[in-house]
Amino acid sequence: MAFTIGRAGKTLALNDPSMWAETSGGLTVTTITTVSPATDALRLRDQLLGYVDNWDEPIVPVVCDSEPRLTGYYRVTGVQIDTDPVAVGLGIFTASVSLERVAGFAQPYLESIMSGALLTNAVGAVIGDVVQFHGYPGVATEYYRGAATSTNTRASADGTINFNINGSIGSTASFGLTPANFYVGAATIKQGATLQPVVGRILAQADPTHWELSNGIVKVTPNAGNPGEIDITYWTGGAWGTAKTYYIGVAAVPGANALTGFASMTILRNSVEESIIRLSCTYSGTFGSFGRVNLDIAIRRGDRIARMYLQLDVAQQAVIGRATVEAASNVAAYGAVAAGAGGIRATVNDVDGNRYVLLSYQKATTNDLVNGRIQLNATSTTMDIGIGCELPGGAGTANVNDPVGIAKEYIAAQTESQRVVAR
Amino acid sequence: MSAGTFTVSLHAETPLAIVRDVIDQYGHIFTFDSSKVRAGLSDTTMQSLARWGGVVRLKSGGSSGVTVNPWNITGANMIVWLGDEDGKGPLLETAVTKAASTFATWMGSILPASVTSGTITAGGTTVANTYGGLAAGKTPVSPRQAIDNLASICGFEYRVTKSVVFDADLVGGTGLFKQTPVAVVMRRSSGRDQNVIGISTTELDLSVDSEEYVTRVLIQDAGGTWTGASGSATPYKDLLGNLIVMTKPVPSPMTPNANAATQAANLVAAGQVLRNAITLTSDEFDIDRDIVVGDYIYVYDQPLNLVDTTNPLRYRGNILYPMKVRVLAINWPIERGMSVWYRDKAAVWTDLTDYVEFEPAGVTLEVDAPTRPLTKFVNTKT
Repeated sequence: MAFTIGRAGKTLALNDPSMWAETSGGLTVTTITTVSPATDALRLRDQLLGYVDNWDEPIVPVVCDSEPRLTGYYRVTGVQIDTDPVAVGLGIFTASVSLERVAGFAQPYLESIMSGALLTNAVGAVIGDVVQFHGYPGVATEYYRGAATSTNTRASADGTINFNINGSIGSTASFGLTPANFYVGAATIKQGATLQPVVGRILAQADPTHWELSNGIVKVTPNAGNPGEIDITYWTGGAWGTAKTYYIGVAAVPGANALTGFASMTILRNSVEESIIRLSCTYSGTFGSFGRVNLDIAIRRGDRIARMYLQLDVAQQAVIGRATVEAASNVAAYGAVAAGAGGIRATVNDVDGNRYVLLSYQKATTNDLVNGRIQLNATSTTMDIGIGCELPGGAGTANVNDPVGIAKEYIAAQTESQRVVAR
Repeated sequence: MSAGTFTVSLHAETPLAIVRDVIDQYGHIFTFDSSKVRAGLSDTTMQSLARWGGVVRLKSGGSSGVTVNPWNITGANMIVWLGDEDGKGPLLETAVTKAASTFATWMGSILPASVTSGTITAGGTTVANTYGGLAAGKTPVSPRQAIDNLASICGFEYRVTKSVVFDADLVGGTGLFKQTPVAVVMRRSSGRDQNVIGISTTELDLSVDSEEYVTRVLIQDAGGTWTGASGSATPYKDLLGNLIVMTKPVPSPMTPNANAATQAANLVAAGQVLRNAITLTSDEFDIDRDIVVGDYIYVYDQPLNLVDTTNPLRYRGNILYPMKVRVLAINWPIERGMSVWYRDKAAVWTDLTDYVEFEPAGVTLEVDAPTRPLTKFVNTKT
């Protein structure tokens, strides 16, 4: 029987509550949990502690299968965990979590406030080219976002995600969602040699070599064999596809003047609607030889694009490309955007039957179609990068899964905040 | 620019030799953003290192029963050397008359000896007028009153620095304040990107009012003539469906008739926006490092609709759409980690840091829509 408080308990089990105490204005639930190995007990403890003053998840679902009447949405107001050293060494801890029921409790209304505009770009794209979207769990009910609901869906490792491209870029969406399905398609950050979800921003460990950023549709991890390179894989419908490795450098040749590793990983946002990490990078050769090099990676719920932003103190002619040569062709023209302007896609299907789409729109770039790379035309202290996937290769649904659709989604620079509202 | 206020509280046990014999009216208090300032630095160096400076105008203390209260040293910022809130100061008893002259030219004749002329933008609207004088029909005004009138006509704004240097620039110019924000204030996120400073907020309050909204301004000039200027069409209507008429009369006896229309146009442009009064509270240390009164900053909060989709900003891996607003007032504490010195009339510096009752973190900023001119900015220090 599952007992979860937000993400805590979803992968490392929490024991059923031993006490549920109501007080004026709130309640306290106590669980005595045993987790093996003991190191996982500490990670589960961190997941609970991460909900204290958590700006990214102010409201969390609590699921109690042993007593379904308690299942609903709550606000975490406090967490107290007794960590007797002997008990912790055995993987045992007692957690008392203070909660407040939110308006609506078991069946509230969720509201996604979105703001957005055309991504400032150097390829001539205009607002009319934008395909903005709102991704939400397919099991949601009472969905409303103004215009008629679109019927696009995307498969994810958690279940179906509805992909609404109707409405305007800043339209607010509202829907109902049961607590058990709250994390379907959620943007998630994991850490550790055995990856476990991280809750909040503060309790991330100093481990820039074991992490994962995913929304069940696209997954980003560091390449284990080549520090500084990034692996990206996509959910193919039944399993994760074969990862593709990308590198960032200043020379067209992989391994020369490229990122050589990540010195730190900072969590910038850790919400179900979007998660963002910042990697501080080490480098070789003359690439960024002076100053800091940071790579931000953002994944939004429902998105099939890993959106990155490279920042350097010293301007460089940065390049993003496939670490293993994979020939590409230009993304087709659309609107006022010329074919290939800032975008390439694999020429042939990969082993999963899909094709990568590589984008960089905010500065003038040159495509290397032979090797699958995009390089800035001039030195700059920033480079925007979008890495998506045409799924299935050569036959993606227009505006949803085809290369032009991926590109149009990329220029929808949206930000989303989800909240619980009264019905 | 307003004078604001500051208060430095000193322990009740502060030696009388300091609080009674050293600290005196019209001396100066300076704060530094480090806990220890090396002794023996020159007067000029100390002023340049200081984060902020003000003029002492009140010294108070006392006791409650057997308990001795802390001493409070209170004052205002350096603008009072141009004239205080009551119109006192180095009044222009000798009339200053000029033919059509620019703001910078006027400053050469109006600025008193108590301030130094700094960087003043040349050019702009010219004004032919007389300020001050004791003859019948004249009014001896303070330099600050005359400067405020000229600034209103010519579209200038100014500041008096901690070293009593007077700088002035056209409204919207980049000489005095940051027109392009480098700081963004938002809930739920903070931290320094390579190009943007995030100021975390612990509290964010918004009120929107139309109490100062105008559709037209009438200026009564020095000769008693009324001159009006109307703004752009208003979107608001009264109960009967008529477009509202909100005309504000502004007596301005120092304004020559030739400049009344320009001044009226400036005032109606500033007054034809709703006042988005945003109050932010932050625990940022020494916020003057990043933001000063008069700077523009970004404020972003989706639930409060503090969003401007024409303003994309890359910050913390995301693209935000913050509103650009102007800081009108900052209320900031003297926190442990800062130091406080007193400078007397003989330029002798005394370290008060060991006697200061430091305050808890908590900065409050008052910000507004970007067209509000610096006629009522306050830099308050408590």
